[in-house]
Amino acid sequence: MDKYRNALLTFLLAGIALGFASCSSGPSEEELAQLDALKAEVSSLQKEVASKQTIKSDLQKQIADKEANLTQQQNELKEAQDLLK
Amino acid sequence: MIVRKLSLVMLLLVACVLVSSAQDKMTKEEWQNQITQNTKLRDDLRTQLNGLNKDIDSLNAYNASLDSKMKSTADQLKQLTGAYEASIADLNSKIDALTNLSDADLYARKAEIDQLQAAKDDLMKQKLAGMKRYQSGFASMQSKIDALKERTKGPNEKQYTVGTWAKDRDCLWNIAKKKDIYANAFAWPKIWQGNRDQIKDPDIIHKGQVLKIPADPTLTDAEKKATRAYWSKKH
Repeated sequence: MDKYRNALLTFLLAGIALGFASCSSGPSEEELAQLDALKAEVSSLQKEVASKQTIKSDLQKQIADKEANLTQQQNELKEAQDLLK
Repeated sequence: MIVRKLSLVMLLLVACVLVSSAQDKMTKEEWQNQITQNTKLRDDLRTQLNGLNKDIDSLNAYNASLDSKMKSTADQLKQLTGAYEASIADLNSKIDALTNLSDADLYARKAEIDQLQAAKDDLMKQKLAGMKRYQSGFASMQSKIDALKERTKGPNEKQYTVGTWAKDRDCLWNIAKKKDIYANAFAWPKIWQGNRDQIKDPDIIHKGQVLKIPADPTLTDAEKKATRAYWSKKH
């Protein structure tokens, strides 16, 4: 009789444990979807930032080249003006 | 005994379910942490993006202002040097045209090489010739002209070193008459025209002058014209 009582108790405890496991206080489906959307937005922003950084760096290089050309042109202009004085 | 074993199996099963459930499922606290972290990251990225957009806008504006300055400077420079550069380009195209001729055609237009040399020398005398940007161009131009001169020399072109009148009776007429020159005194204008750079007056040559003797003694129209002008001036 004791054996059967112990077995019943074990089944009861197992049932309670399973119940706890399945009904523990995790985030809801809606909240998980919210987190996924946030992560997707972050990933998209990271890509956009990387692309803008490339554009900025290209522009800076272009500007450095143009500044060098302009300086050379200005020097040549001055040289020509001095020679023609 | 069976019941005991069954209970043990049941307990193990429950333990497994609990462990795997704990591993798979996110707790509310973890979710909240991730939401907080990602929200902060998103806000930082938005701020960074705004800053980048502003930077790009200002760089674009500066780039456009540089374009405008460059155009204005280039226009001013062109105003000062445009005509000079056009002369250089014209001379270069003439040199290239002669360079592309066959040796025979080039020889027939040999006089033009001297004209090109004179034109190049004139350009070099102008004030703008002092500009650094033209130096390598002039050097290359001179080497092309030199190459043209070299080609017209030809392997058969002889040279003759003028002796004295007293001893050698050297004048253009007598030089042309020599058997190893043209064996034809009337071909003397060929020697004159072939050495215009050192013979201004065909009646005057000096001891020690090294004269080029063109291979073909036949006078071109220009050489005949120069000879006629010489005779009409003389008589």
